[in-house]
Amino acid sequence: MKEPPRWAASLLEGVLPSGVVGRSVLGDLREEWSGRRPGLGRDAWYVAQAMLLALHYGAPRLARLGKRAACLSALPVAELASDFRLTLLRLGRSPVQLALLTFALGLGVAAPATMFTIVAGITRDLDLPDPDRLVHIGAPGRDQTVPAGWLLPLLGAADGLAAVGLFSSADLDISGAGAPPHRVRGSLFSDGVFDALGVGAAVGRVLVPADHEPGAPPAAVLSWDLWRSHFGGDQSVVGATLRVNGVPATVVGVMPPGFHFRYASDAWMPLHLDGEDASSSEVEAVGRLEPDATLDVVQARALALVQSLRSAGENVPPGQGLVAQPFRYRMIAREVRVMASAMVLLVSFVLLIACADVANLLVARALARSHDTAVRLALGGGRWRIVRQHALEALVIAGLGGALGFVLAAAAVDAFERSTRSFLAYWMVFRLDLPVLGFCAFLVLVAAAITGLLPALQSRRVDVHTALQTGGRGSSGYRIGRVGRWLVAGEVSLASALLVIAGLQLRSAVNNLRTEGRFEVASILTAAYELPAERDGGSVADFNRGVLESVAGLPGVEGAALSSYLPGVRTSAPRRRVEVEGTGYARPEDVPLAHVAYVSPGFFDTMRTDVTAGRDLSWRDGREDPPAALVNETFARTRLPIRAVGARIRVAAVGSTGDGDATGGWATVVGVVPAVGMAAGGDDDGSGVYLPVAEGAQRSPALIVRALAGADPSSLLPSVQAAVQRLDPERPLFDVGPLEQKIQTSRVAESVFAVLFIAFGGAGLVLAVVGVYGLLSFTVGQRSRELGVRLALGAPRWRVVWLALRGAALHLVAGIAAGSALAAAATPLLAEALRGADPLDPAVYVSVAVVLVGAGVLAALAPARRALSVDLVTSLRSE
Amino acid sequence: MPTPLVLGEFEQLVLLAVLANAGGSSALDVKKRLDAVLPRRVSRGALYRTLDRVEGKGWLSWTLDDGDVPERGGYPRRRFRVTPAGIEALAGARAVLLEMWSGLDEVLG
Repeated sequence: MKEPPRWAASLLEGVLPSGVVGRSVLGDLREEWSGRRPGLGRDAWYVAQAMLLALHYGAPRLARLGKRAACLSALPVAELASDFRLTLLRLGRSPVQLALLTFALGLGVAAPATMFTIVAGITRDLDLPDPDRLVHIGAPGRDQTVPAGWLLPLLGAADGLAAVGLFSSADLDISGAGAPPHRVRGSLFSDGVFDALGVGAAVGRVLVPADHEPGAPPAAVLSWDLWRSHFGGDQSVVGATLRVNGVPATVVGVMPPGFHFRYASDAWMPLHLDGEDASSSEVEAVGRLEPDATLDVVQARALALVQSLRSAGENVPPGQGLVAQPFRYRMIAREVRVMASAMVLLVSFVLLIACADVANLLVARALARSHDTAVRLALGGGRWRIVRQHALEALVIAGLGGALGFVLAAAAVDAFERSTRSFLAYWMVFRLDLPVLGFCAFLVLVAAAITGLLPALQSRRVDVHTALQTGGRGSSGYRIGRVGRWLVAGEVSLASALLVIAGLQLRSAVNNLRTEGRFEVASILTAAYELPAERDGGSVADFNRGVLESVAGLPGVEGAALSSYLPGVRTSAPRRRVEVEGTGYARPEDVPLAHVAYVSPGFFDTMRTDVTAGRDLSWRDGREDPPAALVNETFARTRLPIRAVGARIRVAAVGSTGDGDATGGWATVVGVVPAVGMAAGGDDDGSGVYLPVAEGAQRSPALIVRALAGADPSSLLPSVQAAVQRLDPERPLFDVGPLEQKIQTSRVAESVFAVLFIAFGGAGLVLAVVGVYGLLSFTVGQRSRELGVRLALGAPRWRVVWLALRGAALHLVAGIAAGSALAAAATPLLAEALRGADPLDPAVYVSVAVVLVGAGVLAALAPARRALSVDLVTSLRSE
Repeated sequence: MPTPLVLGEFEQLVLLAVLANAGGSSALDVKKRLDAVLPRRVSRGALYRTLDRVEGKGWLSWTLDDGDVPERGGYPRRRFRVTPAGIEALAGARAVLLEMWSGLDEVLG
């Protein structure tokens, strides 16, 4: 079940009275939250209410604390308060500057806080007893499953392991006990897995050895969430019989909330290792170390297992054997953990850069006030108080920046959580909790110290005599060193590199779109079902046609089709070798690849694209009429340049013999269609062929349903579900949802990557602008006397402006050049993400340079105006 | 009969709202009742503070509900009841108000 924003709840919990009173208040808020309509509005309401309550409970405590502190330290409270008011007034006088400063620091705080939260989430341990004693045994690399036969010897005598078991994943279609049929992600556990994990059931029991005996009645354990959402949390479900994948199974227990081992499982059933093909099923093993055992023993055992497999003649390729590693490294490797922690450090440099920017700008502000400072010093004002005012200014800015940073980080973490939830393991939760809040506060203090100290210390160097004599214009005790200038150049180069990469990524996305062709995805609902392997080809085809006809006749449906792939969803149409009749191929490998999809007649109408030549497929093709196929325009252009319609093609029966992998006979091309979202992106040109859906015996086709214009496609789901279940009451629909959403989800990794670069590039741009602005403000302030004299002596205005801005312009150009070089050097590393784009695309580099120069000009406007408005009389009189 | 402690207006409203449910009221019941009757929305913070203050004066007591309500995410629910002392305080306040009202019906319409 969804939870309200945790960071707000933990913040409130920290302020509420401890014990049952505080917890009951949290419960009240939670109850009201769950009664509201789900969505962002509900979460925003919760955050607002939690903040108000926190303020209500926290304010009196804070006030008491403040009073006590003031009494104890005998602080000049009135003086501090007046300094504070003065600071606010001063900052409020230049709201643009204040906004820039706040934004720069906000970004500086948000970047490390977000990274910190993400790394904390990824490296989080499983919520199980002693997670560091859990051991994973499987193949090295990404897919870590191995044939069960390899691991079976472990189950009997496992040295060093207190418990060990094998597990694998499975899709389970569950129905019965009052719940509609639905598909859940499940896991199959052999005996010993629950023992190794060290977790018990919340209701009923977990799987026991008797459940794994051959011939034992099938048992199932449900997750807490599934039990609540589909069975209403009814205790009597334990002991009830459900149908799982068409077989009756008894529910023996419900797991505690938050248990979804291994990624997102909602049901667990016994893994049987005694069947015919049991030893070839792909599994992994999990074990728990004995209290005094070390991993070495298990590793040695795994090695010995591989040795014995090889000597028994099993083909175990080198480097493909078995490895035993701590379970936590199984999910996120040790090196990744180290790298992730290094990333936090690296991103913290963003904060340093932001701090340097803000410090530069504050020094420029202090410079503008140096006359004022000198007067105060001359009149007997304390230097300490002046230093304190500077520090207070920095603290206020840091506080504002910190608050903004926290909000930005919360938004970023929320976006990350939502976009990655589908493929990250269940225990990796990302939340802005108290440690993160503490981390933010720490960052704010660091920022305040760095940004406040510089001008505060420099203000102590103000030479009263000179400052008074020059009227505050001219040389003073304030300095921005060479380091500061090159820092700005560095920022510009970083921003330029990041923006170039973001630009290339956009280019790649645009190019990919171009190969995907024209089709309309709005108003389309998709859903899938799977028919059991027992059904023969003819009955599958009849069922599919029956489903299609009854769905197409539903009210609110404009058109419906079946397809073996989802248009626009990457990699859903596999590539196979497609021969063209009359073309000689020297070897089978020479036959070029093309995407192959099986679609029903009407598919192209439903997708709103036209058959551009010839005709659409019909139900008669391959039955009454000879076998027919369609090719898309890309295929026609590249492989059938002379005449597409009438040519004959054949899908080679290579590779695995999975679902829909029909051995092809020759089929005549009867029509040409536009490209309809088959390309997998990158160098794939998207050429493909379409065969009649009846041909491939599609046991698991996707239903594509177009709703009438303006209607919400999701509203069709209940009637579509009912139509399918009229034909087969046990057939659940899964992978249900609007096609638009599916397409977005399938590209989540790409978009997370692109958004990351655009966000970092944008942040770099803002920081660079602030840096240039601060630097120029300072330069102009420092040289105002000289500029005034030049103006008075008749120098042309443009020369004066150029004189003032020259240094910064040089740094800007140097920064852009360095950044472009950096980006060009980095593109090979990002080749995967930039497929389809020229890594040296001049348009991207030039536009980024133009944006940065433009930003530099914007940042220079205010200081340039100030340079020209230097008062001639004053500057001359002070000579 | 003088009441030893003064019953504030909001306290009085809160006590009456608690009394509205025979089996005792949760904080949310009280808030709903007050929101329905009063022309403005009741601040959550003010409500909790008042409940705790009135409890401190001995006019309210609370117990914890048995059983787990899924919507509360495992958090407990307090059920408030007005104590005999609370009833007495309410009755006293009512008597004072009635006394003040008497004879003013024509003026106030």
